[in-house]
Amino acid sequence: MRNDRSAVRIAKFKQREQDEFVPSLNLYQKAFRRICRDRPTLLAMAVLAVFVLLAVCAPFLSETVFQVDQVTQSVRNKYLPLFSQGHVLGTDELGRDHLSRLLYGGRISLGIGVAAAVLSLGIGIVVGVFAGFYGGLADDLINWFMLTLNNIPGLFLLILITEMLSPNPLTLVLIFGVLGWTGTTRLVRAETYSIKEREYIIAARAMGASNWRIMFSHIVPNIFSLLIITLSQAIGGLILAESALSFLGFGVQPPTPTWGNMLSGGLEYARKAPHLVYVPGLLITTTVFCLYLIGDGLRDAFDPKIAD
Amino acid sequence: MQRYIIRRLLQAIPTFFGITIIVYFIMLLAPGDPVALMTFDPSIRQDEREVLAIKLGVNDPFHIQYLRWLIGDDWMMVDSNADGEVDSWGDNYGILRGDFGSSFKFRGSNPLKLISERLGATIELNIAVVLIGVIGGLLIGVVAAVQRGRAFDKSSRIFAVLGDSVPAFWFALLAIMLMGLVLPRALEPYGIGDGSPFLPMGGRCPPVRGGCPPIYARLQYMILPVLVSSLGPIAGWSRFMRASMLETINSDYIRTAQAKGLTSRGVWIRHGLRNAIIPLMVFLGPLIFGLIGGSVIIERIFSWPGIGLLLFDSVVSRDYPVVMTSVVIGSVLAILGYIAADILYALSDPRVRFQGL
Repeated sequence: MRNDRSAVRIAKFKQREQDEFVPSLNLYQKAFRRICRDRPTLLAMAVLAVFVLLAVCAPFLSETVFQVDQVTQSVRNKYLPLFSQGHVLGTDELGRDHLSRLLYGGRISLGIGVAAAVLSLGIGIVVGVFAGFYGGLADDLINWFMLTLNNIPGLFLLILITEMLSPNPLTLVLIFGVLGWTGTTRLVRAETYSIKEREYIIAARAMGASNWRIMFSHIVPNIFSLLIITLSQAIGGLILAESALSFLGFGVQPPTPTWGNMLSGGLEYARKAPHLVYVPGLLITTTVFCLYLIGDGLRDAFDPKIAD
Repeated sequence: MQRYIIRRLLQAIPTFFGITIIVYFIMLLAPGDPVALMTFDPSIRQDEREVLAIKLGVNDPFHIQYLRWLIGDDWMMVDSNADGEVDSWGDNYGILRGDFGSSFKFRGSNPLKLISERLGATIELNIAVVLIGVIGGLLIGVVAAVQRGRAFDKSSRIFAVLGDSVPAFWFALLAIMLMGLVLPRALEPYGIGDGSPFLPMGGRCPPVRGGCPPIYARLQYMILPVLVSSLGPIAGWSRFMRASMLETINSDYIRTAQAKGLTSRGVWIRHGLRNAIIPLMVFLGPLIFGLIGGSVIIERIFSWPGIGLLLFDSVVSRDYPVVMTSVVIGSVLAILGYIAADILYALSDPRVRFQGL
C-alpha cells in the first residue's frame, strides 16, 4: 500500500519534471502546457471564442437562423421584453430586433478593439525599439513626447479629437491607435535597453548583422511574449474606451450599432425596457473580463516566477 | 529635498509647453470658425467680421497664433482696424499671465473663473475616492495576502479583474437603479422607507440658492458617486497591496521577527504592512491622474458640477476658450499630482536618495 503511494508520488514527480525541464520545449511550448492546466484562463478563452464566432457569423445567424434583421423598424413591436415571439432578446425603442443589433454591434466593437490594439501595438513596438536601441537625442525627444501625451487626461484628448473628426469605426481605430501607443513604447523601450547589451546581440553584430536586422529579427522576437499579454489587455481597455466615448456621445454614431452606443442609447429607456441596458452592459463586461483574465493567465504562463 | 522638488518642477516645464502646443494644434483643426461663433448676430456686417478676424489673428501662421495665445500680444503692434498696417498695441495677456480669453457661451466671463468655481467639486470627489479606494484596496490586499491561496484570496482576484472590466457608467446606472427604484420598491411592503429613493440620484447638494452647504451636511450626495468611482481604485490597489505584502513577507527581517517569537499579527502588521505600503506610493500619481480624466463620466452621470462636466458642456457647445482652459488646467493638475506623489514616495522611504533621482 505504502509502496503504491510512493510509486504514485514518484510518477507524479517524473511527470512534473517532464513538463518543466524537458530542454527541447521552447518558451511558447512551455507556456502552452501551462495554459492548458490553467482552467479559468481556458474558460475565458472559450467564452471569448464563442463571442468572436458569433460576431463573425452575425449576418448568417441573424438572417438565416433567427430570421430577423437589424434595420427593420416597427411601431407595434417597440420595447418587447426578452424571449418574445420572434425576437429572442426583445426589441429596442424603434422596434428593431435587439439580438440582431447585438450581433452586428459585437462585430464593430470587437473589430474596433482588435484593430486599434494592433495599430497602437505596431506603432509602440517600432517607436520603442528605435528609442531603446539608439538612445541619445532621439530617445530624449520620444520620452518628452510621451510624457506630454500622458499628462493630458486621456478622455479629455479623446473628446477633443473625436469632436474634430466625425467618429465612425475607421476614424475611431485611427484615433485610438495614434493615442494609445505610449504604454507599449515604454515597455518595449525598457526591454530593448536591457536586451541590446546581451551576448547574442553582440554575436549577431560580430557576424555583420545590420542595426535593422538586430532590431527586428533579434530584439522584437524576444519580447514577443510581453506583447501578446499587452495585446489582450489593450483590446479590453479599448472596448471600454469605446463604450465610454459612446456614453458621452462622441463614439460611433447611430444607426450603426456598437455595444457601446447600444448601451448608452438604452440608458434613456432603462425604465421601460431594462433589457436594453442589462444585456449590452453584460456583454461588454464579460468580454473585457475574459480579455483581462486571459492577459493575467498569459503572464503567469510566460513567466512563472512572477506568478502568484 | 528642496533640490529634488525644484528639479521635478523644472522637468515639468517642457511637458507643459508640449501640452499647450498639442492642445492649441487640435483646437485650430477643430470645426467651427471662432469669428463665425463670436459674430452669430446677423446684424453684424461682413467687413466687421473681417476686422475681427484680423484682430483675432485667425489668418496668421500657426506659430504666431500660438505665441499670441500663450504669451499675449500686448508687447507687439497689431493691426486693429484691418487696413493692412500695424497700428496699436495688442490687448491680450496670454495664458501664461492668466488671460484665457473669454467664454463664448457665458458672454465674456473669464474661463478661469468658471473653472475655479467648479474645481472644488472635482477635488472634493477625487479626494474621497482616493481615500476610499486606497483604504479599501489596502484592507482587501492585506487579507488576501495573509489568506494566500484560500477562498478569499481567489475571490479577491476575480473581484479585482471584474472591477476593472465594468464600464463605469453602466455600473453607476445599476447602482442608481438599485438605490432609486428596485430596493425602495422591494422594501416598502416591509415598512422600510416610503418607496422614494434611498439616496439622491445626482447633483452635489439640494437645489438651494447661495451655493452648497458645508460638506458634512450633504454627505448623502457623495455616497453613490464615490462608491462607484472607487471600484476601480479598490480593485487595482488590492492587487498591488497583495503583491507587495507577499514580497515583503519573504524578506530576511520578517524571518528575524518570526524567529524572535513575535505574534503573527505583530509580524504581519507592524513589520510587514508598514514596509509593504512604501512601494505603493508609486501608484498614487497615476491614480490621481486617472481620476481627473475619468471624472468626465462620473460627473456626467451624477450631474456632479465639476470640471469634467464643464469640459463636456463646453465641447458640446463649442465654447473653445473654456475647452482649452479646462484641458490646460486638467493637465497642470495631473503634472502636479504626479510630482506630489513622487515627493510623497521619497518622503515615506528614507532609502530613496534625492541626488540619484
